[in-house]
Amino acid sequence: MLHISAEITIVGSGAAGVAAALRFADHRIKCLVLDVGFEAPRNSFPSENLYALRSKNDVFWLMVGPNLERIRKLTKSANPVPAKLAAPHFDFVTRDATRLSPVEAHNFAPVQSFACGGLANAWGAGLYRYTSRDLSGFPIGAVELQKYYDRLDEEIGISGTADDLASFFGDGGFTQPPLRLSRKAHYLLEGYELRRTRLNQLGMFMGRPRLGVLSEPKNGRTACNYSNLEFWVPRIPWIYVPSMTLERLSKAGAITYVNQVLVKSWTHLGDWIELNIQHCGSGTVGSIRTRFLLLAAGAIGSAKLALASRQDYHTSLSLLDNPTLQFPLFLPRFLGSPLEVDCFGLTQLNVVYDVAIGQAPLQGSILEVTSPARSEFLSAIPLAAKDSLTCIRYLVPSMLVLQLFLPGTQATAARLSLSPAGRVVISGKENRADGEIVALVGRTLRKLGAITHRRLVIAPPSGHGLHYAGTLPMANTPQSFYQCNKYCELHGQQRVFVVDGSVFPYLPAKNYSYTVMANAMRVADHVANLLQRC
Amino acid sequence: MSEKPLKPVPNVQGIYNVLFTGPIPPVLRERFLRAWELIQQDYSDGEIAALEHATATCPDLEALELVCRKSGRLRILTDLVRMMAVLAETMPSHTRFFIASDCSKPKAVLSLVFGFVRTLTKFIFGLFLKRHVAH
Repeated sequence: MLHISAEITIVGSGAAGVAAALRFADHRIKCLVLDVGFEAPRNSFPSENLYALRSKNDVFWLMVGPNLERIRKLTKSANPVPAKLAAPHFDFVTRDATRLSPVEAHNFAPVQSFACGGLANAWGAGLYRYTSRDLSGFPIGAVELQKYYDRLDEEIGISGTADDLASFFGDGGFTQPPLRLSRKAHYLLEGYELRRTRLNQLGMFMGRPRLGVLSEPKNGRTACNYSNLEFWVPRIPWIYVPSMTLERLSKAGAITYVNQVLVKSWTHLGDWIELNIQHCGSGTVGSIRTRFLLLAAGAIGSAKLALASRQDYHTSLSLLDNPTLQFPLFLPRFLGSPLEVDCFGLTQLNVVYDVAIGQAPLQGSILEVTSPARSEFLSAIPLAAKDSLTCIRYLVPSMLVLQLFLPGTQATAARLSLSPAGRVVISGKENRADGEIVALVGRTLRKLGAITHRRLVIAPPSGHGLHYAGTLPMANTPQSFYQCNKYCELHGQQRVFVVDGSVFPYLPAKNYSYTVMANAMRVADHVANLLQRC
Repeated sequence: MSEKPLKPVPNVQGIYNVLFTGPIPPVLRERFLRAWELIQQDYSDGEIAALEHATATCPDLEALELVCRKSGRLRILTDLVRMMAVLAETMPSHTRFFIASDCSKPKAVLSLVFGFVRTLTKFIFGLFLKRHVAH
């Protein structure tokens, strides 16, 4: 059985774990990265346009999967997942999650990943810097994260531009021009630029997204070819995913990556930390000894490890997520237009609603509807079946979707605990649409020629924001064993650091992935300093 | 093929005709039955019997599916119709049902208005067909 020693061990190979590993590699410190690590399929995927492909070919294997993977995700008994995670070749992202980490959830639909690269394998690659305003509830400031954002910009390649959203997302860090907008998105942005003053007075700001998506080739990765394959092909070259960095570091010998390992708990043994592990293939148990432990298993996974390591079946922890609202937007100007088959299928624009002093801004992403399957829209159309298909042909091409994030606070937090049987128990709160927010969004978008209605607004289940955080939060003076200091060292647990979203005490209404990664690098710098002093 | 005993196979042709006209292509039938084998465990014997009864006796399954969807009854029929759409969309012969090749604003408006009116008549007709749903 596996018995390894390492100076530094990172548990989890998602965005946080990989960012920390990258920083250690910058210091020429070789760390051990452990994960279960299901890999993306290495099939030969198409690179031609999705619609050109499907007009000539049977795409059952691509859009349903040879083992009916997509049908499995749509069954009554399946855990509900966002649409992109239901795509057959993204099956690896959530494979075996309920078996490896059973969850009993009420009013919360958790999504966990044991894949190499974690949930980031299916992200939209929206990568946004936090400002001082976003970090006002944190024991760290924006200045402390600046150089890590810059390092990540260099590694990833961020497309975007300085515009009206600069005060919310920062005005630097673009290493690539923005992607080409779809016709509908271009129309909205033009309308915003004409009515900017009035819309800003109403608290609405619009601009280009900041994306880890290449508009130009970089380091052997091809640029976006506007083929609408984003929902269907994993590890598409132009969308950055952390497993790309993990693979590069592993091939270069800069890290040691061991997969098929499930970490169950840890104990302190003098100067060492012993990880109790189980091999996923054989089921046999073993141990790994390390001097420094970095938890990057996600807010649910890291919390479970912390509770299991203390054999604590009583404490309940806050679990934050960004509640989301989805607004279907209809643009009458585009009724009767053909489906735009050659555009980027994900985020086209961002909007920020910054309405009242003292209230946090809300970030929204305006998404094209061209990448998902057309049949995905059937459930949302209240007409007879054949007439619903008519709507899909003639109405859906004139639509976009606004996904709006709301802040993740204690008021919306779920509670997480561990049962003696080792099952995570999560009790959440129902996600509901706030009437005032819905009215504001409707009012401002109508000025741009986009129509929505409060009855059409969808409040996805709590937990579908996929921005899990807050279970082991940073604090200036940690009081509890489930809080961290400003360097994310777990209180009462020397040399155990938490580098994923668990440490966020609060979630601004903004994608947090980039800040999770930057903070993980900051903590890695601190650990590297400690190691050098030992 | 699986060794598990299959629950009764639904009226595949009838479900296909809720969405599309004409005979179901053999490839699509075979895929639908594979998918049915996968999902059947999610439905009780009672739900499947209700579906069997409805598909055997109801003259307009599309109208019935519409009213049942609104009232939350015979959920299995709605689920199977959606599954049929997911599978059919992957075939180039069915692309035209999902993506319009001939687009213009007048055509779109007329098609949608016709669709709304057709749905209304289907709904009214469907109200009379609800007796075909057992229980």
